[in-house]
Amino acid sequence: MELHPQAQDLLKLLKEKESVSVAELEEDRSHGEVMRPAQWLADEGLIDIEEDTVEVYALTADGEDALENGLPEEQVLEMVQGGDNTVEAVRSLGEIAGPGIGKAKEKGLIEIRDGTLHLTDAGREMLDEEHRELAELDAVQNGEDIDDEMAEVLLDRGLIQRKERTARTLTITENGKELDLRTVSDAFNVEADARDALVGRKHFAREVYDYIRRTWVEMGFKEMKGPIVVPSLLNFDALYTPQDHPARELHDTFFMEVPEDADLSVYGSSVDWIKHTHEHGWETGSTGWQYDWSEDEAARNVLRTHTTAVSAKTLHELTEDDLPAKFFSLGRNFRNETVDWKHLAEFNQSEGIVVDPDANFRHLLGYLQRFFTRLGYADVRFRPAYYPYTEMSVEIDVYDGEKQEWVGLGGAGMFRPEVVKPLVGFEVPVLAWGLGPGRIIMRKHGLTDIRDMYRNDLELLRNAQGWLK
Amino acid sequence: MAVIDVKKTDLEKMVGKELSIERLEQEGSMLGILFERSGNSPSSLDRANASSSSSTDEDNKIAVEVEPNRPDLLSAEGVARALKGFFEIETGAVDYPVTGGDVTVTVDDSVEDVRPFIACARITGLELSETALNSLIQLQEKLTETYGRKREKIAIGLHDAAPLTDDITYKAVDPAYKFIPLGHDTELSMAEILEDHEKGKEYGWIVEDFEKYPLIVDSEETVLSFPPVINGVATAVTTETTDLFLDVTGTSKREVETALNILVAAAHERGGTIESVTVDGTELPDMERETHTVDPDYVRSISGLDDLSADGMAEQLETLNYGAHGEDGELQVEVPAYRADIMHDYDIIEDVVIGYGYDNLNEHIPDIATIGAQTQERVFTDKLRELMVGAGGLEVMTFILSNRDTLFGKMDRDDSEIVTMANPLTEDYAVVRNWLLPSLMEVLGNNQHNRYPQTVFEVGLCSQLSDDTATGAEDMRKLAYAAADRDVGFSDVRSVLQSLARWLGVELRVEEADHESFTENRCGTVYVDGHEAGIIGEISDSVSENWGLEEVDVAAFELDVETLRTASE
Repeated sequence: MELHPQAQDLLKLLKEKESVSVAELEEDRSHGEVMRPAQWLADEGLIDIEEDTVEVYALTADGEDALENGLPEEQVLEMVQGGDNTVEAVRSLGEIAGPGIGKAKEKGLIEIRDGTLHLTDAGREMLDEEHRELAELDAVQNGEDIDDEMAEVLLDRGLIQRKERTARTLTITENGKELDLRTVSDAFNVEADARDALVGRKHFAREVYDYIRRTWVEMGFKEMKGPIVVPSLLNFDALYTPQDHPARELHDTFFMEVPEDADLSVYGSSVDWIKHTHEHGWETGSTGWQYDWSEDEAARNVLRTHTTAVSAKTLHELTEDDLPAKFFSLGRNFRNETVDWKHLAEFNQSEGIVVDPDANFRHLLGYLQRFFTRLGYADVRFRPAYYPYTEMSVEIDVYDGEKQEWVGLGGAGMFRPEVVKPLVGFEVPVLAWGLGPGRIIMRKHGLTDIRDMYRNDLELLRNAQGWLK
Repeated sequence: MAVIDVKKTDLEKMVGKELSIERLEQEGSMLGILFERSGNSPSSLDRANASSSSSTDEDNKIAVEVEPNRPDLLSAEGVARALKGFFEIETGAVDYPVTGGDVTVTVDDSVEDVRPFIACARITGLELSETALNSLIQLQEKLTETYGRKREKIAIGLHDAAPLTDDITYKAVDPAYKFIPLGHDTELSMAEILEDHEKGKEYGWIVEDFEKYPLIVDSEETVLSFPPVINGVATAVTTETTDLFLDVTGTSKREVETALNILVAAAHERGGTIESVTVDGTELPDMERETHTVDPDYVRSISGLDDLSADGMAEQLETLNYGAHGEDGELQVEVPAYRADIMHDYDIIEDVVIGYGYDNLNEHIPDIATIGAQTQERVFTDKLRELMVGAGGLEVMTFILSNRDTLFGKMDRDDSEIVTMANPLTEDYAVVRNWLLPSLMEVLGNNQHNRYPQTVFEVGLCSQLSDDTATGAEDMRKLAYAAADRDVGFSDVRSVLQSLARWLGVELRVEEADHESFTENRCGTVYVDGHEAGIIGEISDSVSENWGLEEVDVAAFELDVETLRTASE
């Protein structure tokens, strides 16, 4: 007779014990690891699988909430103890406020006078001791038995519910007892899992970056490049961001200590043109910001805060013969921020520009529509926004069909003449848009903490679902 | 972006129409204003309108998010004005008639260096409800916070005009000068205010370095304000106030006057009469609209609205509260005195398009031939990644920003000068990394709970100081590859390096070298076609321990991508 090694092991166990519950076996094996061999043995008539329906208790959603955050009355008591003792304040606990207050009153833990709640001695005592009901809820969660009286109370409060469960017991048959395991040979099981291969692969975020790059190239955009350390001139001044703008403050931008300042002479006459544009508009047709522009401030090196600094560099290097032209970039940017689940000190951004003497705002919306459709979003909508360096500025929302909601995915606009003319030397419409790939990656992989993109847990990297577009 | 709180009933009263929150959310966003219900229960129109007593404050609250270029929308009054136009209840520019007043403000030379500019106005005949008063106070706060750069550029005082004489002076005085500030019932000197008063601690830094502090005071020594810090208690505004005196001080004449105009317009919206104040010989506020002549062809070419006539443009602008007139191929635009953001025709064109509706434009993609391409560097690094993946490498992605302990200390290396930030918030991110291997060591150190063997790689940016660039810093792209297991050695990574060299078609040579991070006699400098390209070796036990990797061996190489690329060409 041929039997899979797992089935042989199980039969050996049953020869010793005669009968054993599936629940017990599952303590150190998966359900499949128990039931698959059990079924093979049953098919061979070597064991019987008996099924019984038993009643067990399980936590309700309220019960889970109570286990995590405390019982409603406890939450109320804690709030009252913390000094927030008006009925109105306690209402901020949401749905559990009503039952919490009711229960606390019923148990004599609080008194309500003139719309404020006061702890009774019993209430103070309760805060001090570990709560019995919580211990019971914990037991239910762990599948342990609880006494009937307590169960009734918890059922009444809707914290637990009755559930039916199938309990299986495996019992060896006479045939099973008689079978000599030494006469059994191994069977090969094609259905069983093998060990995971240690494959090499690209990072799951890289797959999305590559996809975005491909989309740009397919639309005729040429990749531009620029360094991460740039003078403030490129990151801010060239983008018509006044020198007292909040974005230039120390808590937003990394300024450099080494190397501290840049030599602006490589930007030629653009430096003067930018100065005059800020001060009084120069030949751009603008009033300018009307303040005294400082070249020293513009020379201060920063870590670029957006890829628009790369676009500014590209515009500066452009000549009239290059037009029309389309460029894109995708790269790392930096913000001097405290790192938390929502913020990182560095992040990737992708940006494209179209420099075309005949371009207009309708074209911009056309490009955006096409670009985001190609990225895989069927519906795209636009609304007015504000960026210091674009006028006609656009906020782009796309419809996520899977999650059925609108998501803000990027920003766009036409560069202001105050940006373009000092950099290029003449006026030409420039359409620009950008997006943060992080948003796409996090939604794809169900991440809620942005730091998880850079966690580099090798198992996670190896097992992440691929980007199949 | 600034957020203000408004009451829906208050907005409706000023707009003269019932407004559903859904309509505000949807259509408001097309005006660039985001509305969001901020109360905790859904407010039904009927309830909100039935009577103020049956609708709680919570039901009625709306949070309004305003873009920073539109400080004129930082109040319920401004938002209501914009909605009236956009919903075509009342289009065109609002007139703000100014009657001549008797009050004069003398500006003393002493303020020149401290806080040179002041603009003032009077509003009379007000009957302020608590809501209206709160709205004006909110406007004052939000204006100074955002547009006024936390009062450094602009500070605003709202005063009850009743106790004041007609003769007011703006001057700088000795910090020993005493008066009773708001929030106190005894006199404090200005120096004490900076020391002890809540507002003094918050805003004192703006003036503390000057020998004298600014003061606005009338001829009877009634103190209006110690700008930008605190007002005097004598002119405190209440719902009983019928006549307001407004002062705006700051460092930019244009912005000081625009802020005054924004306040005056809002107070006028509340039914007040505007009365002028003579400031240093000039009558303020100047609520005249500035006229711009815009070429309709320019509007059409930039917006792409090819068929829109000058008259059609004027119509759109009127829904955004401009005065506008389009005729004979010419567009005359009157810009309201409260608009702070109109610097260029582009700004007016944007408002034509917003009036027209972003959602009403037909998108069009022009047929221009351009050739798409990635940079050669990019194509090359993509190929390198493919090869590393083929060698079983798992790509990791790490931070470019780092710290000296990671780059030097934990790698047993001597500190050297590298690209360094001046103002990092945390010491974790204080420099730009100058090599990549420490990032891989960190990854391996964090992955000891996972299966071995572990082979990881990254192609990533580093930076170095350079005399050849304008900034003095230069990006470098590095390829690092590391293998970790119980028994991993030099040959395991050398074999991958050899495959790489063959694929590149370059001659590979490794010369034994000393490097603090690697084991002696198990480390070499890598040359490709005779050019130094990087380093290879077994990580020393001491470095491994620094990363908590006592149980496994690590071998690795790090190469300069640009050197590989040029050698392979």
